[in-house]
Amino acid sequence: MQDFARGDYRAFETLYRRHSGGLYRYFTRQCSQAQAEDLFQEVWSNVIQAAASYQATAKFTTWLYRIAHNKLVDNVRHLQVVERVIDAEQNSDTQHSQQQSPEQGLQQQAHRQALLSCLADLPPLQREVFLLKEEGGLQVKQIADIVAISLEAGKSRLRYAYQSLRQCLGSKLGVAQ
Amino acid sequence: MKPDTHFTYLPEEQNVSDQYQQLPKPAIPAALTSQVLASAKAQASEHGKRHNKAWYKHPALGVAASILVVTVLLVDFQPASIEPPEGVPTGRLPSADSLLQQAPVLQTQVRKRQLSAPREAASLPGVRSILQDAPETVVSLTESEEVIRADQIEQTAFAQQNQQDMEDLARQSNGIMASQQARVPAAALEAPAFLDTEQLDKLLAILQNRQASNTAKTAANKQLFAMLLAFRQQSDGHIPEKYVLFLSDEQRLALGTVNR
Repeated sequence: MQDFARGDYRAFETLYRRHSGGLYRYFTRQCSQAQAEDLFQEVWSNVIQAAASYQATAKFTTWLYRIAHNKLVDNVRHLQVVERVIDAEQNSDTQHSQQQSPEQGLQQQAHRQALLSCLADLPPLQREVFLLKEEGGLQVKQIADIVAISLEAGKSRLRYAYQSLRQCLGSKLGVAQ
Repeated sequence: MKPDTHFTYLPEEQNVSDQYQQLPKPAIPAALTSQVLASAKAQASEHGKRHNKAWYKHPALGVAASILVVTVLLVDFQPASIEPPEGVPTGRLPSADSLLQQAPVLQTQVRKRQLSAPREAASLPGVRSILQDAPETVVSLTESEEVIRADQIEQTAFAQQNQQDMEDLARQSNGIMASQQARVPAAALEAPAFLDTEQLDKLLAILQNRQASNTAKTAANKQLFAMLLAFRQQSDGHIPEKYVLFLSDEQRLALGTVNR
């Protein structure tokens, strides 16, 4: 980031390749495709603008997802449009399953659909910490810093998220997870 | 990625995580990526220009700063400005090489010094020479003993003489007293009961004279005592203190002046 602030464009390219996928999914799992793209672009725009005044007080990933969290809170949760997530995922899953056998494809598709459905059913606060963990690759302490909660609350919220997903999958697929 | 020290997956949590990671990952629209990267490229160009225009990056300023630093260092660290404290020798200390070169000379000097030491010791009076001189020393000690012994004999003789004189004086006094007692009636009639102060003063003058001989003083003392004793036997009159000063204790006792 500091290299980019000195005019090194390639430094930004590296950052973008490393973090763009997780950040994009962080948004698409929680809001509609269109909103996710808008938020994704806004976050990177903020990063580019803030490069000159960037202070390396925290890990770049933490800083990036804090911006993303703030964008999500400001723009999405008020609109209550999370249910759109499933539709977007279903479209991409259909393309992916076409390369497998019909039986396997159907089974995996059902499994993914169940998982995405369970993710969409998660309480928003649990869903966000889950995505920060799985997509951002952040540690619990960093997640707690981003969503502005204590470390213990972050751990507890993350445990509840995994437990809820496991129970939801079990009920949807009829097997113990 | 560093492991999370505050959170470890439980087995069932790890299973859910694995299932989630197997989900197909939606691709970022290419238009979106190109738009972001284009914006970043433009901004990077701006950042680069601003960074290169920074006043502290001007080449001339760097040269000037280097000259200034070198000048300050040269001025501050002039050898002449380092003054040693008062009393500290300013000469250079001998180097280790020079000391090593001088080592044989120093060793020779030390050896010569060690060799000359017995000669100096021989110049001191040895026990043998003291023993050879012993008879003379014994002789001189014997002579000293003889001198001391002679002094003792002389002192003894003097004491005996003194004792003899005292005895003679006592006998004489007794004799005078006996004769005077025998002549008391006549003397009492003839001799007046007063002191012949003129004669006594003459005797006193002899006793007070430091240049007078002991014999003269002894004689004067005896005569003084005899006159005073005669006066005492005739009278209880007062005897002036100045005439008693030169009498011995025995004489004073005889006069009865002691404790009077």
